[in-house]
Amino acid sequence: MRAKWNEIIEKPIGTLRFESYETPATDIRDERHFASAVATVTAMSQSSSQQADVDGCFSKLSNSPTERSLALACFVAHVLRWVFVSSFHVNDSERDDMNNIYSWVAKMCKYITHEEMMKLTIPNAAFRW
Amino acid sequence: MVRTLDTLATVRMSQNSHFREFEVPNLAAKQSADFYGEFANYLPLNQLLDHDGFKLKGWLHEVMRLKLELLVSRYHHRIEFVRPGTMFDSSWMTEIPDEEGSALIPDTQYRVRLCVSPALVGRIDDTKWSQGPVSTHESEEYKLALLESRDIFAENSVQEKASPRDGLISRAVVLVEAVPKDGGMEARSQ
Repeated sequence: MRAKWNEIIEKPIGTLRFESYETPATDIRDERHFASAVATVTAMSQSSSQQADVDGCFSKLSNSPTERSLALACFVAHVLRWVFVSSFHVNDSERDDMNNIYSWVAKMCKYITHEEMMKLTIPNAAFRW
Repeated sequence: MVRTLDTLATVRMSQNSHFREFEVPNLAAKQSADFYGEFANYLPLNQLLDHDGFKLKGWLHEVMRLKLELLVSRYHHRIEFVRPGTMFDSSWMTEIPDEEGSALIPDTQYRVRLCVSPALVGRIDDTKWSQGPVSTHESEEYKLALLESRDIFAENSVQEKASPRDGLISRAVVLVEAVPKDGGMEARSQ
């Protein structure tokens, strides 16, 4: 598990970190879609993702993080949150042969065969409403 | 009981062929489009999300496969971020050089500037799945494991706040800065 996790995490850090990124960090923090990502990387609860809290969090530092490192952190946090919290995950290009997401994921993972999964008739672990 | 009812409702809904064949792919495609849309708007990284060194879709699939493994694991996993300003603790954090290429100097205290990647922590959940990993051959068990709600982000949990060192699987990756010798409560206390 550790090796898999590290392999996954190292990819964006290794390849995206040094690309140029000029937008000021404040622009990212203000964006609606990144409010939850910033709250996540600053280890705040989702309910307290206020601008003042974010600023207070960084005010302890002598230097704020750079825009590019904040963008990278938000990117990683956003993907993790998207995958682990949201219900649906799909590869557009494989949509045609995909009746349900978990059979597709299971097929990719080779955990069980597609037929076995269909017998279970459970399309998605996260179908919760 | 709630979980059983939830499972039954899910099973019933999934047996609806129209739902399975049309609504699921549409909902999935919509959510996927929303995801890409968000990044197209906010990250200059956008144009770099699919190049030789990094393929966004391929990477997303790896994260999804990991999710599936975590769902059926006998461990209850948590993803723990580190708040900026926290004292650097090498027992559960790894420092990466920032743009200036800094490296840790011995006998100097550091604090976290930013958590780039969270720690992964896993503890045995004695109340469920304690007999071992969920078997993919035991369909009922596998089904229930996939349907179980697991709160994987640590900040959502108030009752359990154990140290990430307990059950640490992988360290958090952080950017750090040196704590000034003449400033900061932590530095003075040494």
